Amino acid sequence: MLELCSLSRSFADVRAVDAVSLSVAPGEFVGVIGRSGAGKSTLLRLINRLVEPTGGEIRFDGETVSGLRGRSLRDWRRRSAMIFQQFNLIDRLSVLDNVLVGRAASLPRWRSWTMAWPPADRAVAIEALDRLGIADLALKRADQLSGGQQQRVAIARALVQNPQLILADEPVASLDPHSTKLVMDSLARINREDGLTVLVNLHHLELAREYCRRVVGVAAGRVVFDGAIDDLDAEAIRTIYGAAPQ
Amino acid sequence: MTAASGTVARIEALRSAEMRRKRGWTLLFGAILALLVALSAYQGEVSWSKLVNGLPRLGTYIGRILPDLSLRSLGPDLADWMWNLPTWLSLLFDTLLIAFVSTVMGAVIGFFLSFPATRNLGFGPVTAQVVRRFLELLRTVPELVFALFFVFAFGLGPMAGVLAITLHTAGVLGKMFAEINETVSDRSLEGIVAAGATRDQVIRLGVVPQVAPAFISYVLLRFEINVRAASVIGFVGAGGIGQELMFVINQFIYHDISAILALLILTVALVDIVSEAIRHRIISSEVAHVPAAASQA
Repeated sequence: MLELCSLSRSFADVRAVDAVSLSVAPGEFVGVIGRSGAGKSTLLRLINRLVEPTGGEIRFDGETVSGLRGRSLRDWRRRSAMIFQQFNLIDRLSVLDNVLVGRAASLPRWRSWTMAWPPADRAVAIEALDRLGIADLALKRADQLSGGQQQRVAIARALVQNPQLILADEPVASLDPHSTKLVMDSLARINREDGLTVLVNLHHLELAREYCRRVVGVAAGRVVFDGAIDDLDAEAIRTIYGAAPQ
Repeated sequence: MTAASGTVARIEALRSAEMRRKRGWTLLFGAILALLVALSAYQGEVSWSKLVNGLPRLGTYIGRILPDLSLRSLGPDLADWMWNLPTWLSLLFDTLLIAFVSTVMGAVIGFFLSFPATRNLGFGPVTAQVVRRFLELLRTVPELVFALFFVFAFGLGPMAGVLAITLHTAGVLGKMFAEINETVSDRSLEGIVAAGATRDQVIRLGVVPQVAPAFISYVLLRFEINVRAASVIGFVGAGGIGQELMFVINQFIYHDISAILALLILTVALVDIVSEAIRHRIISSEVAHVPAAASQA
């Protein structure tokens, strides 16, 4: 159970996330929707602790994770895997090594420095790639892949972290319709088969309708809607997207 | 399950084949590197016994140049040590000015030469080669040798030093700038070409904005290096504190050696701190965009 208690973050005089309270049950697939600049991205980054909150609390299964430091903070990051809009792979590493980055937090330091990954971890990484249908690309350099393939590598990296939570920040915003479907289907399948909680930022309402049972609408850093996708009526859409609905 | 383990075995086989191929090269290059280091050390007469025998003498010299300072009479002792402070400070100031002027001039020359030396801006391979070799020439001739030429031509004094360091700086920065230029993405430049811009407009509007932070950072680093260079250039009569340092070393005025060195270290540290602060400012003003980007989407 992930709980946010009046979580806030300001940048200078801008309140990017403003007293957000939210709880997400295990195994939920939640879409976070809103306009560009509404604070969706900052919200996910706060949960992974890439951004420090200026107020409020984050709790996971009763543990307060917003105060964690050092080793326990890194372990929390491992447990709450991020997926980014621009994939954030290391171009000059092979696909397999990029996936194994997801194992770095679980292995001793010298493994990372020598990049001599244990065979068992390599097998886990290859299996993750296989699950996403791209095992054959394992030895290519990451920058030789298409956007949709790169995003699936990023999902594989997230999977091998053994996370309890997947935070996907606009995972399909830079992808074509076909890749969009592949990536969203992968996320849905992971959610269904592994029971992983997924929080996904989307600015496209249609995708939210297709994949999410529950949506959270964010406007100007505040949660303005939280409920089942079927309850999202024209009035709610107007509050989320303002005067010009998508 | 068997399908998955089959995939793992297949990929692992491919991977180990690739590793074997790479390992051969790594071993070969490692062996060559080790051999070259051993040869250089042998040829350069690097020897442990020499080092061990020489160390005490180094200690003796350092002991000799250190000033006699005692806590009880620290003030008078310091005054005694720094007896020539006004002259030294004014010479140090000259040194700083030499470094500053030649860094600015060298950076300007390097800036303009870096673009024709960049291989992917469409100046053609011949131009790139010619400019690159010219920059190399500027870089390869040591500052001290340039300074000797200029002292011969223009007489003793800072002018020779300024010219010498300017040329060397132009050579070094020109090459570095050219290499930075080559990292700029062609895709973003295409956007400007497609709008009908000339090549110099592409450089000004497309390349310069992307490379500016790196350029500034290297210029500041070069300024620090040039302060050091300018303090040595005086050894051949090209102005600044170096002339005085050379004099006291040759005349065995031991305490003055340490006094000048102490002032030099202080100056360089000061330059370091100031340029670090400037660089930090520039970088943090670049990073200031990040929160804005983070609050989007």
